[in-house]
Amino acid sequence: MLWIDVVFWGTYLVSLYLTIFLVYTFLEKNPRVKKPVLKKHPYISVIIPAYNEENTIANTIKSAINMDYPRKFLELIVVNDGSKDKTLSIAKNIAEKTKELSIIVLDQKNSGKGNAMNRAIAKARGEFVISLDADSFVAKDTLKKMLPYFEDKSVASVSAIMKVRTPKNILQQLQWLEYILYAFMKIVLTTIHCLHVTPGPFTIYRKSALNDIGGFDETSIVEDQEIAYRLQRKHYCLVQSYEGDVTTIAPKNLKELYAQRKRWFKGSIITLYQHKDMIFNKKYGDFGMYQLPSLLGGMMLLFAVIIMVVRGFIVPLYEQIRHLFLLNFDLTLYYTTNLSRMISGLINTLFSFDYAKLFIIIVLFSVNIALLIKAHKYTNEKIKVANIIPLVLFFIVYFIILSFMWIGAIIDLIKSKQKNNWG
Amino acid sequence: MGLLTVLIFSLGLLLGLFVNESKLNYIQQLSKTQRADYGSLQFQYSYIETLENKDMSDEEKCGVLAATLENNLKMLSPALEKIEAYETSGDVENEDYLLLKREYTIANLRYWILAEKSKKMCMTDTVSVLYFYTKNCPECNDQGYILTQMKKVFEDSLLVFPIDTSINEPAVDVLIRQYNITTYPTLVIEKKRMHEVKDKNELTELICPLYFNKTKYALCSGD
Repeated sequence: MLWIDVVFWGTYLVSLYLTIFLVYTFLEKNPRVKKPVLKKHPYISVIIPAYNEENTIANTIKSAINMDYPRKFLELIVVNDGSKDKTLSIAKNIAEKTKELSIIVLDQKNSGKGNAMNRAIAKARGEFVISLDADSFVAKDTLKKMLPYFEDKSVASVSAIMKVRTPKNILQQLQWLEYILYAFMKIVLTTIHCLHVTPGPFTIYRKSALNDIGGFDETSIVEDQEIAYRLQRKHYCLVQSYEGDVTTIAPKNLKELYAQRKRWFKGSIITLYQHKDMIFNKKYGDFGMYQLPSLLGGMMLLFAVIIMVVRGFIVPLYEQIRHLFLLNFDLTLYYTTNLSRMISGLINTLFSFDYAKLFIIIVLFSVNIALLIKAHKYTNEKIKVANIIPLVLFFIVYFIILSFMWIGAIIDLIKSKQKNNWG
Repeated sequence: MGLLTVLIFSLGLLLGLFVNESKLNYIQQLSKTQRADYGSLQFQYSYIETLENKDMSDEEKCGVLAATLENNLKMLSPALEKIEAYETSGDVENEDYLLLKREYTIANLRYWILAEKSKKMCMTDTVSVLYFYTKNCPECNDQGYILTQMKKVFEDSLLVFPIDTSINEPAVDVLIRQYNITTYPTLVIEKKRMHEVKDKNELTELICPLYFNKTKYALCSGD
């Protein structure tokens, strides 16, 4: 079992290094919440690409209309990407009724989000364009708080803090926790120019930068990741703001989550592969030297989690079931254990236990708890101690579930690759 | 920062090394006691061999035999657990471990011969099971488990002799040839050879009829 140990130690070392790097960056750069003030009002185009979003689109559009920003500098462009439901008619209806600002509704046959965005960007009059997913809702003051970052001319995009909208069940609560943790990490990563994604729910782009890189990739299934890589390639700055709030509807059950994560995972692998020349490439600074390798490390970590779960849980469980069969389900015999054997078994376990691994796991775990607490502060959330402990426990299970979704994504990738090869 | 990583990492490794060291000490202590036990058993075997020619009644001979068997039982069952501890300690390929395992196996085989002798001569109501197994054999783990459980029911009247065939012990090779063992696990119960893994019911059917007193165990008297 030597190779498994190599995988373990490699993964521990990598994740330890990555975590320490993040903590170190955080302590050194000490990102502080400052209150930027908006000096002028540039023209803004809010783009809402929509595919089968009849349940949410009306509220999404309304949240954009209600943004605190001068109406004469604001336009909305809704792109219906061949929805099979009432999305188009709902959007058209709102556009007709809204008089205070211009709402353009574009209709096209289903060609993907990247294509929808590019079409809208071509029509947009704004100096800045915003991608607002049709299942997300923006807070009133978000735009005003985020725009000042663009005073720095190298900034190409500013993303809002994305949160899960009114989490109703445990799965959504876990995602809520995950989102704020990631938001905090992204705030830290911004200080070393390492963002690798400009999330679709609410990101403001400088239109000239988008034109410079040729807009969104229309073939990508994670166009909001892919575009970040190309912006990084041209050394633009990508910013995760501390301010600004956008809530998005998170998958409410495992099936929906699986569909979403499968797309994300597949997209991450494809995107990373497309830009593999940037990995460990000094030309791209910390993005090439830290962020991309750490994404790769994260993928490794998921594999290690799977191996750990299989070895530590599924294999022993399978063994117990087999034992029951061998005993012809004679439960009295199954529970027969004599004390001395039990004690010697316990001693064996204690002796064969790997304390070095345990130590590193404890270090990683406590650092991550500390990060989670910081994350609450930076995303303007209150820590509910009663909530956080069970949630952190569930968090472990959640990551195990994600790890298995990861396998699904890889199987999918291999299948589609084979299909392509065979024509 | 890289330094910090190395620091924490090596702190973890150091802890692991420290624990390993104490683990090794414990195991070494175990093997010393073990050696002494085997020495004692060896003396008892040689003593019994001298009995054959002595002018003693069968009853007296059986008394000595029974005492030796009891000592075997006391020393060999915990020995297996200690060897298992050794096995799980990670240094499986350790030379010391292999020697210990060989000594254990030989002691076990002597015990088996003794038990057979005692059954013939003194009518002791025991059943012997020779259990041949090898490394990296998942079915062997299953058979080992079920035999352990059965042993808990029949206690001292079921004598299980586990024989690890992967340790290159010539005495084991003799038995392998005699019983023509080709696959693992294989059970030999009173000269009958069985290749597949036997579950609880199958083992009960095999073992129970071999006892002189068949009503002694609930497992045997029940349907």
